[in-house]
Amino acid sequence: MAVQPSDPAVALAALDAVYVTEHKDGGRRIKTEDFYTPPGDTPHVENILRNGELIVAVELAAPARHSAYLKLRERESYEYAIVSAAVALDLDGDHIRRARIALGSVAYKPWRLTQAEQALAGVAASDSAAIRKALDLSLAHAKSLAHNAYKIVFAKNAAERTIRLAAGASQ
Amino acid sequence: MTIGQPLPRLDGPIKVTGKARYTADVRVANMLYGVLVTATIPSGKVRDVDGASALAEPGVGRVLIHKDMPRAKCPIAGPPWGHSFLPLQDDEIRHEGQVVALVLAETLEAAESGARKVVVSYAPTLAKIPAALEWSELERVAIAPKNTGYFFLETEFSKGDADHGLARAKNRVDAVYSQPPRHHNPMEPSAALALWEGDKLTVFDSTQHVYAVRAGLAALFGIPPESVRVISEHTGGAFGAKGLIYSHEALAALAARMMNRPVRIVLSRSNMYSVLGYQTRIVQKMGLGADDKGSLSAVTHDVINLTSATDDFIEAATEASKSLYGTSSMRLSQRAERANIGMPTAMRAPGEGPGMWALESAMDELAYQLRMDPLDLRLANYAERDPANGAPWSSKKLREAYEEGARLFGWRHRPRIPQRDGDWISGHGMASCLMGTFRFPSRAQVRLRRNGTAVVESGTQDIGTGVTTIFPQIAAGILGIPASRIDLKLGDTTLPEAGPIYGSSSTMGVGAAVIAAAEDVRSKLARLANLPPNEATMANGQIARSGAAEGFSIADIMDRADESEIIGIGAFDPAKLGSGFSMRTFGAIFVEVAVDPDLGLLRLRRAVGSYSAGRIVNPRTARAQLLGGIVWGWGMAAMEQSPFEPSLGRFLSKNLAGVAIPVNADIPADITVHFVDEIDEKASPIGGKGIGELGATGVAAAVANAVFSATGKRIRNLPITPEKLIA
Repeated sequence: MAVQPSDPAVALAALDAVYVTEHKDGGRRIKTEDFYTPPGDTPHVENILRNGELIVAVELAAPARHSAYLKLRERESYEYAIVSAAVALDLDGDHIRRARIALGSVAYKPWRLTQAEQALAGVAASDSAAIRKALDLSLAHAKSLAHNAYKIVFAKNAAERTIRLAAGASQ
Repeated sequence: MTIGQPLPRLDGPIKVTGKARYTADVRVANMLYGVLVTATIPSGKVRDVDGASALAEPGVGRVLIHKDMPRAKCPIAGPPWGHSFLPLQDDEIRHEGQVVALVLAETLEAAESGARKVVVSYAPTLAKIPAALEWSELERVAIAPKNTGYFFLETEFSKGDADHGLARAKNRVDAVYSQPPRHHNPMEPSAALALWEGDKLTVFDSTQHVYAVRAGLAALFGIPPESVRVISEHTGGAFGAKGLIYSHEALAALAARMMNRPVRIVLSRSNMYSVLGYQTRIVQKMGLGADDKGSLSAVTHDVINLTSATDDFIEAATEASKSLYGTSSMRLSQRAERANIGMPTAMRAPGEGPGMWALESAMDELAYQLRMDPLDLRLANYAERDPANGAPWSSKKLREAYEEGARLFGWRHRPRIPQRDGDWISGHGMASCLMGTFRFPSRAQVRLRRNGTAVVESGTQDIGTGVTTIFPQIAAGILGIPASRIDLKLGDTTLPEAGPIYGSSSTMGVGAAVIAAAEDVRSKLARLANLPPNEATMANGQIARSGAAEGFSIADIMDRADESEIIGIGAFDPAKLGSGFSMRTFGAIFVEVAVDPDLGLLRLRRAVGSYSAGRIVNPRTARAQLLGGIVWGWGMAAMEQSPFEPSLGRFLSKNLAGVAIPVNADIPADITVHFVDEIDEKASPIGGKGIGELGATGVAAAVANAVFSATGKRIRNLPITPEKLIA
């Protein structure tokens, strides 16, 4: 089973990007969450693009002021992620108004932690216990395969660290 | 004197401009391109090979299978063969990735396309797969190995009653250390180009030993060695992968004979993981017994390594325990575990590389148990003579290497508790370094021309180490001309025969032969100038009696004697030097690492390597060798592995995307390489010893020891990947 290995796709998922396509029979706008298809019996089909359909634009909302991307890997550079995390925070002072969290290299698509995102609304960005609790909740049903149970720990720790980095970042 | 000068690499410009010609760069007229088809099962027989669709591809000429091939005229058994069988001599499959067919075509593209269309059907048999990584399980499957030529060193050794000593010892370490299979991953894939002219065979090859290839191929065809010429202008990295003869070399020569056309086979990156050898899985059980002062009374070291179904390769890891520390008793054993897996081979640094990982980790565990500084524990067990046989050392300045390395690193002033720096925790670790000394008979020839240029000739090889610089450099010092005016010819069996370029042997062997050859030139020139040969010195294009102000120019003497060149011959014979002495190189490695325990990240912050390796011929190229060794050790410590996938019966990844080796970003600028001032005149007249492998030893243990000091986690299974470090 292969995980979705892209870096930008994870960041784009956290930012609610929209893929704009063209096709001779007409283009469309696809949300990142709708873009990828589960492997099922057709693991060679990775997304909903039709034959001859091209992505011509990626649309992003206004830049996220507090965002960060973290990639964990066995060496410093030129390597696929063990786990990556993209976080965009909408902050009201120290408090999280809205959090968006996507994980890479854990599933067939960039994986949004929607439960944690909801739980984090209104939480202080410095409240590490609350953040930990939200992440635990969100990943409580994560299933590992043989030899990769460690990925769940990485996912939590990476998300937690990336939230901290995003809260400290401002562009 | 040029020895000891940091001369820049003479081959730098040709290497960075692409002028250096490697085997895959060689093209000859009428050449066929060969591409290997390899087995997709680990064990069984080839039932049928259907080459029809391949042959339908434009440009594909032949699909050769075992039924087509002429039989070898010699037994394929033991070195110089990489394993005791030759593919396409029968229908047997011994491991996944073994060659089952050879596609020959007019272009590389056609051959590759054809190879993809060959359909092989198999009669599989139940494959033997490696046992689980548990000592008890390995003990159950381990066998006393049978020597088919791949032992290289002793497999059993004992002195005193070590098991009793261990049981009685007041302080004990008893632990198992493991390391996964790893491949050499040289930049240049192996390649061979064979062409016949009548009964004469010429092979361009990517090899560490042209003479071994000559001997093997001559025997294969039942022709005299003089009928085979092997040329290896440059080899693009080897690390042991190109030390023996593998399938592609024999098949290129056989196919060229059959087709009556030159045939070139360049291995694909994927072939590099199954056609050649690799460093196998090695599991080591260490026992150390010591008194309260840390003095060792017993050392036991039991090793079990994975080997192929055809031969028992022994990774001589016990060499480390045999040679490093004084102890009143020791018991060392080496066993093997057979499986349907490719045949292992030597890899930088064989024996001591794995052995020092186990021994130096165990020594660190003992030091913590005794609350001793790990360096003091090593000093407390310093071996003034060879601990195995009591022989004196040819030269050993390990004490100085420890002291100078510790000073350069600041070991004695390091923080004793882990240091926090944001999310990172840093720790410090050290280990000894140790490598065996291997010397091979070697010859060289030096030709001095009347225009004051010269050429050094020897059938050694360039594998990217410093030899292309130091051999001209050595001759330059004796002939009194700049090294830039001296050409080097190597990698050709028509040149004076030299030893292989492995085992860190070339400086001692070929270097000594070059000295002798250059001195022979000087003596001959002195005689022509009526000077006493023993008192002649050469400088600035002149030869003179030592101490004399005026000399004679090389051109004048040669003009007068009507000679266009003077040829000097030199040889090195290890049997004539240093017998009765134990020879090794030594050192110490100190590292600082940082660990991010939440994210499992491990980074090398700085390192100091301090070495006792005899006289250093060129500090610049020597530093590069040791630095490369430390980086090699970091790869072993932190990331390198070729996991075997039992359900596929093969290595999981057969390309560099799935096998991590260090990249530049992993290597900190703060790495210091230091050499102790030393001359070892018993190992070689050059005073130096081998340095190519020493730097790779000890590093993995130093890193694991530093990780322990930072985190309290004792990692005994390499590599130290993130999942082993997360809290």
